[in-house]
Amino acid sequence: MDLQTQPRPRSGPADRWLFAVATLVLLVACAGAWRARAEAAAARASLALVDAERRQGDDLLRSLEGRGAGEAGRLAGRVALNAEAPLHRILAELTRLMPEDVRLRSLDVRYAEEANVAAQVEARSVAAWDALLEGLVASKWFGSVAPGPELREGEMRGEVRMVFRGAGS
Amino acid sequence: MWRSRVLLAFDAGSLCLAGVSRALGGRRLGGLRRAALPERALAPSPLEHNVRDPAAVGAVLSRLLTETGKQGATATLILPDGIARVALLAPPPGVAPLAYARFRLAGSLPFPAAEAIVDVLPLEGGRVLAVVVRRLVVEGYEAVARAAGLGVGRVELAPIVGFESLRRLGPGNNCVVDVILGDVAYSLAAWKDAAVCVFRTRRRDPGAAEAGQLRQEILRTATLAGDGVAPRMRLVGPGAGALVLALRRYGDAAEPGWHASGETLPVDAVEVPWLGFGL
Repeated sequence: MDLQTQPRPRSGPADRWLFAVATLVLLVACAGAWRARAEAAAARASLALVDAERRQGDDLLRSLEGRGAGEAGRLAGRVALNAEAPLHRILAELTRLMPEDVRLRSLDVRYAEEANVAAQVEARSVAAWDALLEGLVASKWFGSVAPGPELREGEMRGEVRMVFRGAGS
Repeated sequence: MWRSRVLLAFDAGSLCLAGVSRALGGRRLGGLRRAALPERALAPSPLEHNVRDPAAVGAVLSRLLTETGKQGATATLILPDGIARVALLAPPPGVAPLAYARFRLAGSLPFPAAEAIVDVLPLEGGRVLAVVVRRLVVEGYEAVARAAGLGVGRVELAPIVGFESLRRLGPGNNCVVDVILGDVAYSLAAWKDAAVCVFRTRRRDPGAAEAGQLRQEILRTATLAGDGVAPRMRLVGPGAGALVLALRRYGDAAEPGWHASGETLPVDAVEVPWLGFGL
């Protein structure tokens, strides 16, 4: 009850209803803000997870790219060697250096950093064998000439390992 | 700017000042001080200026404010019984209670309706207790408070504050008559089945015969409420303690409306009709 001569404005039913609605809206807004905050925290956690996965992916990609570049380099080098040292060329040069008493039994060429050649050779005489080795050492086409195990039973059988240098070497 | 709040109660014989603070579940009164007024300085009446000697009343109020350090506070004024017309009304459904009270009471006022200040207290069952006071009566009290440097907040009526307090303490079951005493008038509220049925205001006639006259009014009020046989009586206000004892001597079920606990008051708690303002 208020009997003052200058009464303050009274709150009618409409004001109370509006106040109730405003209070309800405020409560809903607070609940929404709380829920949004929780969702934002969850989103931040998900983002951090995704970011960590992305970093892991980047690392993996970098390692794969590095490995891929090495493989590609090696492959490119092998292709280049194959072009510079074709098998028929190696065979031709090797045959040219063989004396008459020397016969080529097998030839193995492996293309890696260089064209590694392993030749199984049969010679009727020691002199012919030695002549082959001298010819290979003196040849500009072959390097790193290394005689392998020899078998001397009347005629000589042995292996010679060398590197084919190619035309540009 | 924040101002402390006080409660200032006027009556014919005294001024009371108390601090009002917020407490858990409501308000709390503290530091109640009471000071007697010079005789005839304030005369509660529904038609004329009540503050007959503003200087004397102002001096007492200023002294109280100085003693309590409450100068400049905002005051809730509690005006005494005997200045208002109070009516129990049942507004029709869909009608604003305040507008209905104005409509019902305007034609029977002893002063122009434009000078009336009307307010209502909602009760059970859609009924209201309508209160009408003349504007110039309230202005006199407000002017004294403002002259002493107080801000004027709400203006309450002592018998209504007392009635509300007794109602909060527990509505009367069966037949209960609450008596809220003032220095010059008193109000009676009769309860039946937890609802207020009758509200009346009477002038006091202090003297040896007062208890007997009051008893007759209580029984009459109970009869109007529909049961005049041995009503339970709850009394508060000036002289309530002595009247309770006198009514008990008649064999009536009279009791003080409330007791104070844990608070040192300058008077017995039951002698202060508006003490329940802090409930």
